[in-house]
Amino acid sequence: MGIKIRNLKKKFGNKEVLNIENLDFKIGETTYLLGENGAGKSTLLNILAKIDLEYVGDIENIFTREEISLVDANPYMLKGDVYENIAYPLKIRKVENIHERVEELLWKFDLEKLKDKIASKLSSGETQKVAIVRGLSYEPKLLLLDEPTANLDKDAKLELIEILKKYKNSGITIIIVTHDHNFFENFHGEKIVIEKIRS
Amino acid sequence: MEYILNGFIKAFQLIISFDRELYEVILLSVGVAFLSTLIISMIFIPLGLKLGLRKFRGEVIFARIVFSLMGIPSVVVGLVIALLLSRRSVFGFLELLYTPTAIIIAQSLLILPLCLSLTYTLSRSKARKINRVGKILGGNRKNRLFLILKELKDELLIIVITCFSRAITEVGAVMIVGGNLKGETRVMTTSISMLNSMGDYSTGIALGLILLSITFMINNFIYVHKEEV
Repeated sequence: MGIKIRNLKKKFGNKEVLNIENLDFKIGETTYLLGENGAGKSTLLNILAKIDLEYVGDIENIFTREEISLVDANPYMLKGDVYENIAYPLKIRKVENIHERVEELLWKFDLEKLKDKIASKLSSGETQKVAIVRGLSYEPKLLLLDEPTANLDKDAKLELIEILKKYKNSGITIIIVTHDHNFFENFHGEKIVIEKIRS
Repeated sequence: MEYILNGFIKAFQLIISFDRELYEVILLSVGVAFLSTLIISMIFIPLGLKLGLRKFRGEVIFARIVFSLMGIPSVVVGLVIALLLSRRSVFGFLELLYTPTAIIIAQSLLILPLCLSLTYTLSRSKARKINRVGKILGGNRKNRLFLILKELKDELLIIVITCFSRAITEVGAVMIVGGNLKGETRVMTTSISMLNSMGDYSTGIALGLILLSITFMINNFIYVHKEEV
């Protein structure tokens, strides 16, 4: 049991963008997805997140939609402040003690000073950090990250890695699309290369 | 120049004295524009949002047609409606020609493409992203609908106000289907047109000032909101 992909094919119009015969992800481990631009890495994340259901093939994914979190390369911040953004996934899940949970997350990930800031006006690094904490707020079992350190300086990258390290002990499965060496050097994980389909 | 100055003075006197005829015209103008905006917004804002969220065949052609319809001459719309509502025509039995209902129909048809195209464009550019975030964060359909409405409430309000502004300032189609009947279908725009030809500048200026104030307030509201958005 885990995440098993067999004969996965995905097309956009007539163009085939993914063709994976066999691919397994280990539960509780971190996996890096590598590959050149257009190899279909982000598409694969969408499929694994159960956001994109239009594909051919078999995927065995033990996680339910509610247990999965996906953080985009350019995350969209909801209107309102950082607090509201982090609270939103908890609100729609009707979680109890939302205020305490959000306050705890803000403290744990050193976001207290950003709490009342308008989320859409944050810097790239702050946005990415808030998006990851928002994605972790409901304690997902599978975390999918798409180029989380794109456009970030080295300090911000290391800060993000620290956030993930803090969460790693909870037994979460993490799949990251990245080419960032800061990740490989500071956050252990298996590397899988997705080959680009040549037409 | 003196008659213009006198016109302004008389205009203020009419406004301050709460001239009944003047205020009937104003109320009818605001009322029909409000109803046509309400009807169109209730139907075509949800439709525009829904169409913009999905990819469908003929998307490009649909967008082109709707955008082209925004430029349709209002007198043509008025003429078509008048022909359809005239006594010997298809909908003649309804006896709607030269009634406020006919004005509402004309204004509604005029603002329909405006409302649909603006909402559709907004949905394609922003609602898709919001819908995706809603899905990613675990929202069901209802959660996502409320999220989209919450996130886009300012932009949607601007669309509604733009439609109202377009409806209340319409003259051609309203003149054709309403007939500018005193106490029945006389609205601000048709009154101004008639008063000008009659040489009654004071009432014309009074109505003009009020219409200008309403459109100024609306546009000012839009401007302030755009800044915030």
